[in-house]
Amino acid sequence: MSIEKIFFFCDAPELAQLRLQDPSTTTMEGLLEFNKHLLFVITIIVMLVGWLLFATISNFDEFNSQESQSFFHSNALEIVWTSLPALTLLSLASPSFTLLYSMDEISTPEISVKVIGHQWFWSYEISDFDTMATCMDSDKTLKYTCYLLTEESISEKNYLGFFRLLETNKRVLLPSNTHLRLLVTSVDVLHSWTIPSFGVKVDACPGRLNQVNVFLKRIGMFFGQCSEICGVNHGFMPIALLVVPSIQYHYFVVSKLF
Amino acid sequence: MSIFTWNLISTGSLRDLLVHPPAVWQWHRQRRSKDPCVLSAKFSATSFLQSKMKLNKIFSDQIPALSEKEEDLLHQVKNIRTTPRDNRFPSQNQALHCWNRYNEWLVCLKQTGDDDEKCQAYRQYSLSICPGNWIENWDEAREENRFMGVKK
Repeated sequence: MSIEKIFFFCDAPELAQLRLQDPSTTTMEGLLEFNKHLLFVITIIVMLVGWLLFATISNFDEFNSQESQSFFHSNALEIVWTSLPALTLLSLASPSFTLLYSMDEISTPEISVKVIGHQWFWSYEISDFDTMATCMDSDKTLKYTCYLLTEESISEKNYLGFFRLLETNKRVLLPSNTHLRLLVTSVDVLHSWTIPSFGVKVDACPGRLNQVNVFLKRIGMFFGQCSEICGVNHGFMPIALLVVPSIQYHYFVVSKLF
Repeated sequence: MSIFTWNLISTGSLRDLLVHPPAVWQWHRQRRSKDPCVLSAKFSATSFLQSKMKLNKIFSDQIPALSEKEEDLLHQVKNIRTTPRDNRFPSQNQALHCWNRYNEWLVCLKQTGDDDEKCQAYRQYSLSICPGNWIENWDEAREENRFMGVKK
């Protein structure tokens, strides 16, 4: 694996990638492990069933066996082929439920980030510091509107390494290693806010305020795209986040608002 | 097939080793560096080293010295916590929680006789959890006397 692949493709989609993106929250790590476990089990099942099917068809067709078999009951066989699937399903259900309930764990969030979907861009608000910030300048707020950054709007020398259809003019800054609460809503039609690396996909419904708790473990840039068809430019409203260490985030807030 | 080998295969590392021997990586890298549409073209060896040095500099830079006022603000910012969870609204849809917090602020104003200072905590809770345009709509509705919640 080249160095670039290890360090730089962490949180944006790769060309023709087969696997999920690298996890950066505990939820996504759990999802990834569960996915691997699930794929292993279903590969075994598919191989077993395929083998049985092939063996039955090739060994028991009309040219190989002229008479029908004369055994009709076998309690032992029925017990085996009922209990084995039941045990398999138990082995699948158990990590699934622990993951599901761990995603609903109660946590006290440090900040609330409101994500508002519009046609066709996302806007973000962090209003926890509003009563502290006495200055009412328009640029001293933590409200961002993030539009897609098109190829025409960047200069030629920055064109290499540009994440096409993923970059936005402003990136939301979030602190890492603290509990965050995301509240996703929309003003017009259904949208869906997703960051594959966080394992988060939340529908933005007008009139609803969907809450999701995330705990970001890594710093870096994270990308996502709108995941609910919302009109002509549904494919052109990306999400770009910059996750920084908590300390840096607090310094940023102080410098931005005061 | 053990889970261990499946993990390796599914992460792609073993697959990459099998599919791309080192000579092919070299050819790929040279070919991709000429293609402007490919992501990794920016990250040649020299630029990787430069960006690594830049990252080191960011993390080893001195934390800027702050004035007392800024220190105080930083301390306040660190200790701010957002609207706490309300066990009456455990589900994913927090719209009612937001509505409840806004009305709590209105109740506080009513009880203290429009004292903004005392009700600042409630105001902050409602600002934290409610989207800006919901608050604006409700503030407008209150001014126009068509608000559906707590009346004056």
